[in-house]
Amino acid sequence: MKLRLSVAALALIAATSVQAGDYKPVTESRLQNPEPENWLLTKGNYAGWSYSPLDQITPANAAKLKPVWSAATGVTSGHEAPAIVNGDYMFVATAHNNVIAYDSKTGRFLWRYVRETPEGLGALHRTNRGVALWGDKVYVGSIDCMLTALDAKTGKMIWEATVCDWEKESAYITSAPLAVKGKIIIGPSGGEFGVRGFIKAFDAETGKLAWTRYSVPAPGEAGSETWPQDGQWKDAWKNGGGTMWMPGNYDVKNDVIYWGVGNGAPWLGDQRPGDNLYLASVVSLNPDNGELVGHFQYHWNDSWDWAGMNAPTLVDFNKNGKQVPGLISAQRNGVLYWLERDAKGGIKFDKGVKYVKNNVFTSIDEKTGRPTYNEAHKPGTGKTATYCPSLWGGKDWPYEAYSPKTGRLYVPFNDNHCMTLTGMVQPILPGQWSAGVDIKRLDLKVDDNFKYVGGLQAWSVDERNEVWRQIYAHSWNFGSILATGGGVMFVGGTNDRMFRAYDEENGKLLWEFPTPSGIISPPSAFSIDGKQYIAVVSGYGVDAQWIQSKMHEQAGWEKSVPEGGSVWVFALGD
Amino acid sequence: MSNNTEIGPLANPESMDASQVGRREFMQGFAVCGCVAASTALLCPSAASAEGARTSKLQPGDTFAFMSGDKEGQLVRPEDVKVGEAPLLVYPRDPASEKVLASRANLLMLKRVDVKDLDPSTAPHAADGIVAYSAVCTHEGCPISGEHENPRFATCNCHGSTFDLSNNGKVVLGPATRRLAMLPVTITDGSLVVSGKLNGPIGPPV
Repeated sequence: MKLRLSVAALALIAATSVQAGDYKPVTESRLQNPEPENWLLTKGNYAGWSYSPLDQITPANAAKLKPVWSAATGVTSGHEAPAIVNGDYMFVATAHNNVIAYDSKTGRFLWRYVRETPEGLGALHRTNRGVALWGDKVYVGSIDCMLTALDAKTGKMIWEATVCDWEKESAYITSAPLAVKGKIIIGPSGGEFGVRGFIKAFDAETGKLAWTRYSVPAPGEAGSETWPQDGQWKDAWKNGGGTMWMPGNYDVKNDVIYWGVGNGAPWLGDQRPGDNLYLASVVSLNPDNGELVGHFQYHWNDSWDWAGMNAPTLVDFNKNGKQVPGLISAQRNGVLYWLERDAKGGIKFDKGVKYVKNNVFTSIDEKTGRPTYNEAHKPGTGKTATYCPSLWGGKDWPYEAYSPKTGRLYVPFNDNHCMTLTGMVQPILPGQWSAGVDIKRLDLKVDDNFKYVGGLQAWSVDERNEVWRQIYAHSWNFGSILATGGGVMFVGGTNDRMFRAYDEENGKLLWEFPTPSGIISPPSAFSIDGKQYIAVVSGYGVDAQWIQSKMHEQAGWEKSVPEGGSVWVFALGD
Repeated sequence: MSNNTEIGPLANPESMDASQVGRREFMQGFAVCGCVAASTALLCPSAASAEGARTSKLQPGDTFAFMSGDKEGQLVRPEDVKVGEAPLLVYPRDPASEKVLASRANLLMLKRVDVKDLDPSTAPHAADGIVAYSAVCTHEGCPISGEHENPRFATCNCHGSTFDLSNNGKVVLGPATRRLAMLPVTITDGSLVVSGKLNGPIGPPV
């Protein structure tokens, strides 16, 4: 008996000794100046760069990258969340309301939080784009409209708050939250179900609602004049779309957040005549109260499901020989934008260049950025039109990356695809698709004899020209890019399940590794004990998979990419 | 809403796919029992039903009510379900209280198909060609309301999954991989009535 007790005691000690270490609270100061060894924010920093200053992995040694550990998430559907790392703790959110914590260095499982999905819930995209960190808590949005705060060390729920209504209003959350100055900010998806977009800010400690900002102004509010005032469509604003379904960026110096606004609902602009502010726009907001302080609309009267949901990346760029604070963004409508931003959040158009084929915009006003349209390519109610790029755009939600070392913006893109739509009036009912088109006539078509669809583009932010590109002859690209201080960028996104490293200078492929499924999650970087690691979550699904089935019909590609999530961590081998 | 944090080996997410609404209601019912009559807790479930309280889940004997449109909330009669029309979205309706049991989980669809087309698996559960299914798509949970050129089929408007309503809700076109749950119906005294339980899980597998 004595011996047995001793063994038991030893086992207990052993178990205790492999516990992850202390958890370093995430402060305002840490988020404003994130240390290179961690990945505390979805896009690495508040500016939205998707860049790690870590420089151990270089073009000269990237071929030596080896897997260090991997772990199955046990979940299917699309995995679109980055691995968020704070010291010994790595947090991965998945579809079906799971958050899993691992020991960053070893991959040892620490805890899993599961929030049950209510029976009967419907969502166009069952995925999750990641957690936010603040203090000693981890924050995650759930498909059933809740924002939940978890204890970072144990995964125990601390509080939960209702963000939206899935049962009656058909909203659902896929976005990662953004933590700014003690508030957790998040908004739902649901533009195809007639949701009027918004974000809400909650107190990080208590979960108490601090403010709500709708993207579509109510009658009498600024911008409401761009919506129908009377007649058949006078209530269009109530279900006008503009969901804010991707996390925003934050200008620390000037205390302004920038958030992207999604597509119009229904998709057909002739059911809501007018410019429809602030659909397909970037809005700038005061993080203390949600007050709208500026905006830029990429295109008016959105009729293509070209959502502007990705907030532009905060950079400085050269304008007439002077560095000016700006925003840069490859938008879904196929235009790469340079915008100026001022200290108060004002946004001014500077330049727009088509980075993929767009047959709708006949011109872009040099002063205002307002496009003119070829009406033949604008779908309407009872009107069939073909437009390019298709609704998935030149770039959908995956993140572009900016390296301050190369001064380049790296863009995952898709080109040579178009869409034919015929509009109709559809009723708005709980959970029901009401985008105004018949799903059976969602005609995605790639060009005859297309040479490629997916690829990567590198743009000089100052010179405003494309420096290099990589093309994928047999795949779309649904991969977010990670740029690093070593001059190596990482990206998945293709249907061949590969995770790849490229030379940021010239686009040369340096290394690739096949993961169990395809990769549609943003890679991240961290270091422990001076060693640099690259993390990525494999797990194909949602729209990328749907498109794959369409490509099977059109081009004979494999019918589907195997689904199933797994976390991968790589480092240089000896 | 219950939650689960697991410390230790990975949980099987499939285990979370139990009927959450039913379980919650059961728990709520149990809690009430605990307060009011702890000593007779075991008898509480039957006591509750003896009082006439029923759950919001559908049950045999229920009728159907229109989910939307001009007749929203009104009783669906067999003649309202016509050959060649799009699936009719309905909710169960408690015949005693005439209460419509509206919830996303309870959303059902009715369709009348040619009796000659009915597969042997389905024919015994149809009533004069009317078949009933859960309308919660087994792909991502959207309501299935789309017509298809094949009158036996129904299509989900979110991602295009298509199901054969003459053959036990079988998937004929993905991305859904699981068939729709069928609900047996009969026509009793001129009314369309639920005559059994859904023959499978509703919504997507998790």
